[in-house]
Amino acid sequence: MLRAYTELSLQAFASIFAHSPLFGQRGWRLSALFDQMVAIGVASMPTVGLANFLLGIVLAIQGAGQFEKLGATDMVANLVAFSVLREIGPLITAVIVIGRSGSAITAELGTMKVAEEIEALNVMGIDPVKYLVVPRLLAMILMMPVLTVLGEGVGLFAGWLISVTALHLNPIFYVSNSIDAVEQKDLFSGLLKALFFGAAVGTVACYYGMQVEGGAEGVGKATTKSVVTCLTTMLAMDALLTTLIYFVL
Amino acid sequence: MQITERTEENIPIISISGDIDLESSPKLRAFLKPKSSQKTPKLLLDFGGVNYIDSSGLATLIEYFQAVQSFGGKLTLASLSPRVKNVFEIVRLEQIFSLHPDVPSALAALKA
Amino acid sequence: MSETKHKSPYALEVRGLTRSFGKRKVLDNVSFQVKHGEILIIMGGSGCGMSTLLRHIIGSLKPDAGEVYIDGTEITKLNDLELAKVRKRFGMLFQTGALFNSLTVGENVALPILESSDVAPHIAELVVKLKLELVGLTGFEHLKPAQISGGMKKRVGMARALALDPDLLFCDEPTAGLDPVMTAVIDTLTVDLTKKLGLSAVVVTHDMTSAFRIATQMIFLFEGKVIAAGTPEEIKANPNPILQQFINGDADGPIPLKLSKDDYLKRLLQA
Repeated sequence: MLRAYTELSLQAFASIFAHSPLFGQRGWRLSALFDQMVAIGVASMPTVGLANFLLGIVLAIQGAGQFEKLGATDMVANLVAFSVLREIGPLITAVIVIGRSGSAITAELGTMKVAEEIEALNVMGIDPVKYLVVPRLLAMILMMPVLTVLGEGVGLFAGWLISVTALHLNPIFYVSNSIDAVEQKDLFSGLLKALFFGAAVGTVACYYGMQVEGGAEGVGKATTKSVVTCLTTMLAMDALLTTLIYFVL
Repeated sequence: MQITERTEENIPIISISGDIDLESSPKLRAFLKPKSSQKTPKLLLDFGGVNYIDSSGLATLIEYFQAVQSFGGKLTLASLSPRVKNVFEIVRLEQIFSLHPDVPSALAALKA
Repeated sequence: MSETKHKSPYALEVRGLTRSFGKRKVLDNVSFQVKHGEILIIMGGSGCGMSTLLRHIIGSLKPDAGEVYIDGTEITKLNDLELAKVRKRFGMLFQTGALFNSLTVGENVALPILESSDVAPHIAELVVKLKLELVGLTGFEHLKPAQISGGMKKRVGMARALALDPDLLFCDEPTAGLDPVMTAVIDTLTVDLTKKLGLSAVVVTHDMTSAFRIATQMIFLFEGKVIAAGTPEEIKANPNPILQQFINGDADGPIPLKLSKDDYLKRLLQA
């Protein structure tokens, strides 16, 4: 299984470059990429925004509870800024994208597999990896950081909003505190994570979709497996990257 | 596929030889495009050397035929091999194209 | 392709094809040939390995033993890239049509053209019109597969299989689910294509009327073996009781369609 997954991923990454329309070859289509970017990215924006907004509020309130005891409620700004950029933003965005788009990719490719559509592509001499996997994988890799930035923005705003209204912190002071709390490195480590999450979710979701056998039941099972594997892979990657960034940067 | 052009009695005669398929039909299309934009009133396509035409070749001819309708241009095809003629007939295109057994009869039809 | 370009006298040649799934031998030393311009009908009961045979011929499945030659090229040992090249020269109509549900009917037919060549979109559009007319679906370009009936899907599948003007056409039950008029349209089309354009066709079917109407050669598969082969006349005259039962559609005969009555009653009463 791991071997088949690795093969598919390598083939997909190779096709991105070997059949790139950017080099004037007849390969995967830019229009297909844009369609997927809309399906995966743009359509996820409201949910990603909402999830980050709610977690921004939760972070601020939970933080305030602890900082109050130390008499340092101002520190809420530092906490929200730091954790949203480094951890919560990329993580919750990936969770939403996995639930929404990762599962959709597996279900869609799986349904095509069951309906002989993938075999039909093969018989027509069209490479399904080039035609189906590459646009989805690329869209995932490109849109995950974009969604993460959006999510982080909304999360930070939610933290500010609740701090200013419910916790009665000074709005200007809060912002300057936030800016002092974070470094460029925090933003970049979040985006780096998003990039890796996108690649992992894209390959895993496509792999499970292309593997489907056994009708509608098979599609359902594969989708469940895909979501579970995406989540665990993403969390393992998060732990690994966090450790690496901590020791290297 | 090779395309050569000559003029007889002010009518351009285009001789095509070889296969008109997915690979070569864009070349034929590029050749016919200026003919329709210059509003060539009469055109003869000599199919004597054509041993195969595929659907993209037919589509290229249909596109030219559509284009010349606007200015009443005429098009005749000459010397189609039985096999090539079959390709036209299977999609009933012999009903819109004027097909002739040889170049002189196609020329006569254009002058009429 | 022009007739002079044929590399072999046979459009398709299958030699000693054998394949087992687990202990069950689905294909057992299957051999036959199809000359250029012929229509070969593959008959057999459901589950007799006909679709499996077709999947081996188009290279989707690899056999345990045996070879498949498509116009002289052996395909069972080709890599994906080489196989893709051979596959551009044949068309395949799947049992369910296998249309892409996200694309319109027209886009489905245009797909192989646009993906394998540099022809302009307008040319592809005209080719789509020509092909849809062949299968009696002029004007249906803009509908999605979900909006048309099963029989129409199959005809769109046929139009798509013909999009690249193949030399060799494979059909998996082309007329199942079609009304008698449309069955006749598809049959006439298949015969016209072979007679007028020199195309060869391999058709898997259960429809005996249609089979005898179009076949130039027939083979009959039973439990993975070819038990009869020949022209339609030879097949009709073949005394093999299994074959005769199948052709005449008799419920009683040597084909073990159901367990015997005794067996059934015994199983029913088992605790």
